[in-house]
Amino acid sequence: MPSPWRAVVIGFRRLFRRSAAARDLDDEVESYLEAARDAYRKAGLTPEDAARASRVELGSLTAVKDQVRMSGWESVVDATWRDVQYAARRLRRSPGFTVAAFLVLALGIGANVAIFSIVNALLIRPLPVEAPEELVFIDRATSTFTCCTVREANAYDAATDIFRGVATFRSQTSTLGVGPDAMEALGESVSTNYFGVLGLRPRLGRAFSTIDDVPGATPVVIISERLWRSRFDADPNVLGRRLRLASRDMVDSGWLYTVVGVMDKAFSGLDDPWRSTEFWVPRSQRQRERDQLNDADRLLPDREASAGHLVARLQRHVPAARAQAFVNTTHPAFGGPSLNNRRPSLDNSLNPADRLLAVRTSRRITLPMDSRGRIAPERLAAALMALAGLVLALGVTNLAGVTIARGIVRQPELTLRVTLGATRGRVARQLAIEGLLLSTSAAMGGVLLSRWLVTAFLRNLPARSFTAAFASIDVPMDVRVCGVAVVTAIATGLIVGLAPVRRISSGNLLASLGHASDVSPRRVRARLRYWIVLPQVAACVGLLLGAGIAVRALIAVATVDLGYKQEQAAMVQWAGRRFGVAPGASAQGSHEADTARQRQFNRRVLELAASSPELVAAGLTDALPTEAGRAGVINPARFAVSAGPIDVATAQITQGYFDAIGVRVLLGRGIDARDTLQSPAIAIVSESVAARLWPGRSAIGQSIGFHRGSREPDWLEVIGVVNDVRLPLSEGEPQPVVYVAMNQENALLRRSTMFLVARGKASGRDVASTLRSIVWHADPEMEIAKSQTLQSVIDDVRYARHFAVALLASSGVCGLLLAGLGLYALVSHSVAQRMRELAIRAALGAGRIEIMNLVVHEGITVAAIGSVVGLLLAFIGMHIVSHQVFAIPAVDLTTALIVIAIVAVVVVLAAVIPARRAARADPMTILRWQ
Amino acid sequence: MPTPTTDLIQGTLDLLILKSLSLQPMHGFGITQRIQAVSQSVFRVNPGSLLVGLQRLERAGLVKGVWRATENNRRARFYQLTAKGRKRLEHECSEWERRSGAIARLLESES
Repeated sequence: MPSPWRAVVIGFRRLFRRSAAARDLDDEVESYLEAARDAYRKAGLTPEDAARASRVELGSLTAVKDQVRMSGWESVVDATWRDVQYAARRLRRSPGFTVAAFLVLALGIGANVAIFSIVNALLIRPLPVEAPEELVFIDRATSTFTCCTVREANAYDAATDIFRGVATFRSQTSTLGVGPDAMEALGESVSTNYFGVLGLRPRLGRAFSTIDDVPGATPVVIISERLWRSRFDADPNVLGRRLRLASRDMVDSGWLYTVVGVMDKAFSGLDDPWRSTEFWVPRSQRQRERDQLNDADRLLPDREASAGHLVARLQRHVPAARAQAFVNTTHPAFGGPSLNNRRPSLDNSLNPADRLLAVRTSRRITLPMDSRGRIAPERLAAALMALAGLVLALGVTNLAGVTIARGIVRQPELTLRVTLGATRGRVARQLAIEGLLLSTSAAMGGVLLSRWLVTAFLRNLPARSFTAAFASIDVPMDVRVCGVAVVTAIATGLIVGLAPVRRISSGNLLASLGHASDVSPRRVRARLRYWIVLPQVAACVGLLLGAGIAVRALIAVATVDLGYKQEQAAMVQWAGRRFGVAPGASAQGSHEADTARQRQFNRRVLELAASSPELVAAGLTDALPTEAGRAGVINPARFAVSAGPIDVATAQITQGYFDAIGVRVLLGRGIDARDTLQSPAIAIVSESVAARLWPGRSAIGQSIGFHRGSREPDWLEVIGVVNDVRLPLSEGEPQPVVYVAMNQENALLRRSTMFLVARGKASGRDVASTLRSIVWHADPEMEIAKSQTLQSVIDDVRYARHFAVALLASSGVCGLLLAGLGLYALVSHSVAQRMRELAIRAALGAGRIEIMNLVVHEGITVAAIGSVVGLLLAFIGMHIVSHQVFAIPAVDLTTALIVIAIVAVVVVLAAVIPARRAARADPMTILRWQ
Repeated sequence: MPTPTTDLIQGTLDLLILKSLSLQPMHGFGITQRIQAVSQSVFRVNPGSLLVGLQRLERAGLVKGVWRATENNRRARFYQLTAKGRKRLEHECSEWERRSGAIARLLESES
């Protein structure tokens, strides 16, 4: 066996001491020759004959030396290095092509890497926990309601033959701190075994333990690394410091939590992968807080018992199917023995199908743009990657086309080299190296560009308020991203470089050398023109169409009539139920007094707003028409009419609310001073409710009943009809809403939060600050949960949609750029190839117009056929995407026509410019030059 | 030359070089001469292949090349077997005998 080490050493010696190695080889061959001559002389030949014989014996000295030189591995390195130098020289010699190719490839690879790193960061990257493949999530099969009570979670946790551990988590937005420092942050309230089940350790401090569950334990919090850096200046002594948390959901006045740990930034919670979790608190402590508040406990017993989402780690060798079978047999919804004495009454209000539990092997990501969970993230990822791939494919085919075209020009050179003894492999290697040199340098540029693209993309998303949330998501440059960049670079380099090789061997040397550029017969040229330019046109049309539709969808979502006016309007939100409730001090029976205090506060706020010169109108509501719950309805409630129950959205409002938010009263009247606690209970319905319940009849004077559990409905009289509102993410469907008067509220549900909405004379931002000062004026102690312009509230909701559409649209723009560049290069190149023919025509007397006609005619033919094919492909592609991924709006005529017009202009321009040159130039010059 | 020369049998060059060198260290042409002489000019060694072969064997550590001055005061490279090369030669020889014996038996049974 060859000893590899010696071979390497000898090889390197030869590589780096090139002249010594050459001298050695010369000497060896010379001495061989000499020895042969001596031998022949000894055999009796004359010196001349001996010299000749030895020459014959040895053959060509150069060939022998070459043979020896080529034998070691270092000769490959050497030749490759020469090829690289040669390729660099060649690329330098045609700077136009090099720069264009570099740009096209860098853009294609950069866009690809950028899209992949975003997709990777958001959709593909596995959970950064220990052995994520062992984790399962237990959820309702069809809805996103949380599934289990605390007791059920504990019972699963005890089933150690199936699960190594079961933890619960539920996300909640809380206000951190007070005063000007207060900020909203997403947190999770989790069971104390949460980090244990996930196999995570904080980078500082400790995880939760069962001592935190002991009644009376100090409230503790684990914060994210980001929060640690931003709020505690990365203080290494942060452990033991206290953080004030006020939950928006739970409605409390805030509690002090002691920081016991800092979580590594790689882990950003389980609930919403698109936003990072900033803190974790033990569920039991949140529970205790609420028990002390007392009020909440009484009002929402079902949610009380709910533990949140369940995440479980399976025992080794237990398949998910067994866990599912176990859940099926134990959960009461299946008729199995209940793990709980009391069946959760939430289950009673759900459809039977919604009660089923599903054990899922991976985190089911519900994309924020799609609250009903219809888009599978893998599919979205696949669609985006396919798009990125298409963009890159366009760039590569462009370049391949151009290099094939250049290859035809270079064919005499290549054929000559083959004739002079270069093997086909050697020529192919040289061309491949040229392509690889180009593509790897472009890939480096592309990777740099992709970082810039990602940053620019995240910074320039339309919804500014969400960018902050998004910026917290790391878009890392991980191994996978680098791998994608490397693989694309190599693949593109090989494709681009080797495209012309296929043509070499067929070349006829004489023909190649004789007619420099006219080597390809007319038929081949035409084929080339059509087979390269046509798919380009088609792909270009397809991509542009996709991008156009995406942009149009964006505009459609942005311009859909929401039914209200968000400009110059703002809202402020506070915790409605904190009134008079001091922690631990609340006693049974104080409820009435609390309500009275709250009413008084509301009245005071409205009075202040009415007297404010900056405000035009103001009103209270307990539900904004901006954010739908998980079920896709703003604030779901069940009403009764004579025909039976209907499920609609509902909101309790005060006088002035419609004016403040900009909803118009179409029939009857809005709420006014006549509606008091003593007067008959009233309701106002939206158009779609009126049309559905009383088609063809007036809604005014009808009765509508509000259901509360099993009790008899409270009957309300409809006194007005207002226009419909739409959710910010919907393109069409209106939300059917029944509005009731808040000052008659004791007939209805009490909600936890309250919004003051107002319309002002100045900007929404000014209105928001006015509202804040009004609230603090009415009660200096009041904690404001949220204070925003209506526009930013809507932006918050729309961000994910914007994000997806922005991805689509930017890929489209990249595609357009690439396709346009490539199309132009190809068409103009193929026209340039006809220069000789055109020149002859000109010499034979063809006028400029005729020559132009000839070229433009061809351009238009290509554009027309390509457009038709492209449209067809686009239709098929969108049909597939619509069915497999998510609904894409139908192609409209305007978009299609605009796209075709753009492509036609590019193609015709690309044809006309070189044709003009041909028509203008002196035919003799061209003929001689060619 | 009276007898027509033939190219070496595929794969035997290394064996022949090793065998030639087993007697004494020699330079490239010496090996050529020896193969030609002993085979009575049946085999002819291509100098290019010989030098490549020597290089291959040297890299494998089977032979060792040393520069020496010739009578005409030129540098010439003399090759000698290493211990490893000697061992390899023995192995290759027995291998060759085994194979050629097998081929001879086959040919005999044929006739």
